[in-house]
Amino acid sequence: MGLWRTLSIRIRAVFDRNALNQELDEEVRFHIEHETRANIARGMKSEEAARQAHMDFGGESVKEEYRAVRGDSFVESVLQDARFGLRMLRRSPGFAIVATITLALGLGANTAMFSVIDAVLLRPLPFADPERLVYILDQNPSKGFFRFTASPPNFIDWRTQAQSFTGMAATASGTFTLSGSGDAQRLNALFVTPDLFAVLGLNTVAGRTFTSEEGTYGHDKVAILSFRIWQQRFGGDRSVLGRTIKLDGENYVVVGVAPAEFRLNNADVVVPLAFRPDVGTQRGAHFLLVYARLKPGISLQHANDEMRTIAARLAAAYPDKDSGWTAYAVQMHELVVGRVRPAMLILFGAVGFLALIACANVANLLLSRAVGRQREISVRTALGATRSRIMRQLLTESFALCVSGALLGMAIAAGGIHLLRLVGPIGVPRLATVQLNTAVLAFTAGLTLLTTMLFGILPALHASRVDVNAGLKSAGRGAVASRESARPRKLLVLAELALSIMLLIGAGLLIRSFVRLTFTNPGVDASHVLTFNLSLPTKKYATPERIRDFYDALLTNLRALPGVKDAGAVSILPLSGDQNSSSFTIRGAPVAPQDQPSAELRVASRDYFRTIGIPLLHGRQFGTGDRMGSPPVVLVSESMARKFWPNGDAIGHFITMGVRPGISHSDVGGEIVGIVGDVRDFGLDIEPTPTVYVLMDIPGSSEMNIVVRTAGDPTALVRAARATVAALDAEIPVADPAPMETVLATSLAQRRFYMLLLSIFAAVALSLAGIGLYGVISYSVGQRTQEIGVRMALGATREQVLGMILSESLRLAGTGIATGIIGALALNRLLKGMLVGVSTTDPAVFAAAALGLGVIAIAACFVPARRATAVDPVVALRYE
Amino acid sequence: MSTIVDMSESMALLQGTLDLLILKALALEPMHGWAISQRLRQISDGVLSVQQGSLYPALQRLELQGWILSEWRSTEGNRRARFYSLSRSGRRRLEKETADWQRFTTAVQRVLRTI
Repeated sequence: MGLWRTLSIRIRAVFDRNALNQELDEEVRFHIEHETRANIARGMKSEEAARQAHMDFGGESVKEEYRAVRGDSFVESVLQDARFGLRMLRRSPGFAIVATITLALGLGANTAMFSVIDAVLLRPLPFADPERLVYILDQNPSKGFFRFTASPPNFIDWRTQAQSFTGMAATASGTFTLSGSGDAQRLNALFVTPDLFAVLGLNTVAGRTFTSEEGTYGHDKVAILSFRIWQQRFGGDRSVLGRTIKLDGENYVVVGVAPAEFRLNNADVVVPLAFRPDVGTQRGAHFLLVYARLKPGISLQHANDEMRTIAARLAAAYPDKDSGWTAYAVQMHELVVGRVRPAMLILFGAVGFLALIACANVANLLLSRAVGRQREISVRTALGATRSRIMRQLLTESFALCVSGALLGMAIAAGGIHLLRLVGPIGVPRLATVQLNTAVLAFTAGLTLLTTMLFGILPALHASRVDVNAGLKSAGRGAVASRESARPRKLLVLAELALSIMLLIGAGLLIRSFVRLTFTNPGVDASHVLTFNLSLPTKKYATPERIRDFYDALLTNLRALPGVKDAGAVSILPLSGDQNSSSFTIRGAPVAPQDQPSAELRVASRDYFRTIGIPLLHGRQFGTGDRMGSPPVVLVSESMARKFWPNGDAIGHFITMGVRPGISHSDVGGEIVGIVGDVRDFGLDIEPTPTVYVLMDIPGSSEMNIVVRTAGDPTALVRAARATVAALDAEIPVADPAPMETVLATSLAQRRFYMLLLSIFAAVALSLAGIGLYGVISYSVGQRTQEIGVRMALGATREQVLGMILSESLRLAGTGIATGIIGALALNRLLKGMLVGVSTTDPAVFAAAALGLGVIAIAACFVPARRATAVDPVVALRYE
Repeated sequence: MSTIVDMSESMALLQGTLDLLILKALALEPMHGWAISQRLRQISDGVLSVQQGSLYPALQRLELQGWILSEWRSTEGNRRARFYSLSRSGRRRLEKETADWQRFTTAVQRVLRTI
């Protein structure tokens, strides 16, 4: 009964507000009329009686109190505040627009950056129970290999012996040429042991996964298509299951389709990894990436201990291949994102600075506005509005601002994300999956609230602590709070300037490091070079001779094309990220197998060096006399020669490489006849690796990269190059045609990406700080109009006034810059990993940043300072 | 929700005392707000003077708690006015509060006499 009454009154309070207010008004009117009459009866005059009745009753606050009891006040007053806030914002559109855009920039940049963090770092891997998934990696610290793939016999031994895992699977990558229906197409292939799907906890979306029988040699001609290839090449047709497709000329039966989120090695097709019966001899061939799933309750630490024990056992059993090697488990997620995490977090921190700067700016705007609104607030206080009510109203206004900023910010973020996906480098994992999702929206909502608090509280506190008398007396402007309010405003600008210069210095360091890298000589002349990749089907091109004939014919035909200056071929393109490390022996210098040195091995055509611009330093190049059957010769890079023959006598020595590239499976090596220039194969920021070049005729390498030096734009030649390949063999697809400059640029893409983002953040920060400084100075000039007028009336010159304002502004800017430089010195250590050839305290960058911000500061102060000199003393003195 | 009192001519009302006085006033008969204020002033000989405005929030609160009921009725002068009356639970409340109050004042008096 009582509950129902309470409820009905409360409900009425919300929905029937007008009626309730009318009732209250009527009740109050009734009371005052009776009181007035009673007063008259006590002998007062009628006017006096009414006045006394009103006074006895009390002011408007009674109604407020009454409503507060009734419980409608919250909903009602929030709506009222919102309406009022919007009206106030509409009345000063300039303020609203500047504040909204500022907030939108801050919130938008943060939203975009968070969506990247979310996609790249936070979102779990698309597998069942992903935190139990690990990679098992080999490492050989003495040779400098810390994340290495495993060899098949080692993998088999690990799998049999390890107890920490519910399953262990291996993958290897390769390529296939898909032929038969339609154009020949190069596919990325992933070879997997059949239990990979069980280990990852993945199923097919159509058909089935591999049976364990299909993992045995001779039963392995089955394939699972990637979702993408299924859609693109087979139109998503389920009848492809059970059909036969031709991969490298061999028949494979399609048994399933992988889910869309299966992106390992960007595979187009997945086939069983079936070890040959003689797999035991391959203990030195490290090419398997091993996945495992931790048993429930087994810690990573425990698994690591076990793997180390097993690896030690293997090293003892096979000292020639396994000594020096050990194995360890690392969380899959950690390996995928660990490399990019520091950079991502730095960028996230930087964009957080940006949000803070935006907050400071808007807080400043609000502070100036609050001073202008002092009279309004005084009036409201005098009429009975409580302090908390006024604060709530101001905060509601801030919130309205912030919400519109957030909405605009979302649009900015959506555009930014689109751009990120376009320019984002391949090196950042999962960047392609960046999107605005619920997690991102929740983040932005939270950030919006936090921002409102950050920039709204200070001005609201400040404004609500108003002295009613003073506020009402002064005509709504003027001296009341100028001195007092100048301090927080200046502090805010100081913080802004400090944060901006920190961002500026960070961006400057990255830019300088990047510029340095782009001027690093890669060792090849990348301009006007077209590259593409060919892979000859091994069935058709089964002998080194056939392969040699094909490439000879191709290179000759390419050279005959108009606009082509030269053509060559190499097994691995410089700066492509691929590698082929091999141990080698030097004749006459025997060492134990585990102590053999290693070098990068490249298979190249005779004209490769001339075509791509690698200079010959000593000796001779491959000549026409070098061919199958003639005494084998090799070329070595300068760093190789210097490292192993420091006396400069490399030429004439004989070396034999440990791996056997190509299809002939014969040893490669020979007499060193020439020394060629170094190539920074693994990145402009990485010292050149010792490299051995062997002539491609001898091993017969079916997969080669063709390099073509052109007279004009290399991309213009793609079509002619394709035609030339097709004229020789229509079943060979041309893969990845790209100018060498693009390959070079791609190797820098990640750095460029980080540099670009941080530069954008810094630029936005700089302009926001400029606006902030401008606002504070011009406000201060406005406040001091009278003072300036007095000074000028007493004889101060315009120059003196200008100097006074400027020096005050520059003191502020200088303090901000100095604070920021101290902050940068403390924080820039974090950037160390992202910098090459530039110290984190690079004086030039610091100076340039300080100068840049100084110029912006002067520009921002100059306009209001000029305005101060234009003050007319007569007007200024009459001002109040 | 404080009870406001003009300190110059009367004693401050203890927190919560206004509620008790209203309930007591309404125990006799239903009446409207102004009449309640008059009754309080008369009974206490002007010593307990409620600032009249604060009466209405108190009435609202008591009604929400279910101790008093209200309805719009015509007065003798044929004006519409809101009349308040004591509910059954209000009557129980009054008895309990009266007892509490008496226990309290007795205790205070005993203290004052002995010291």
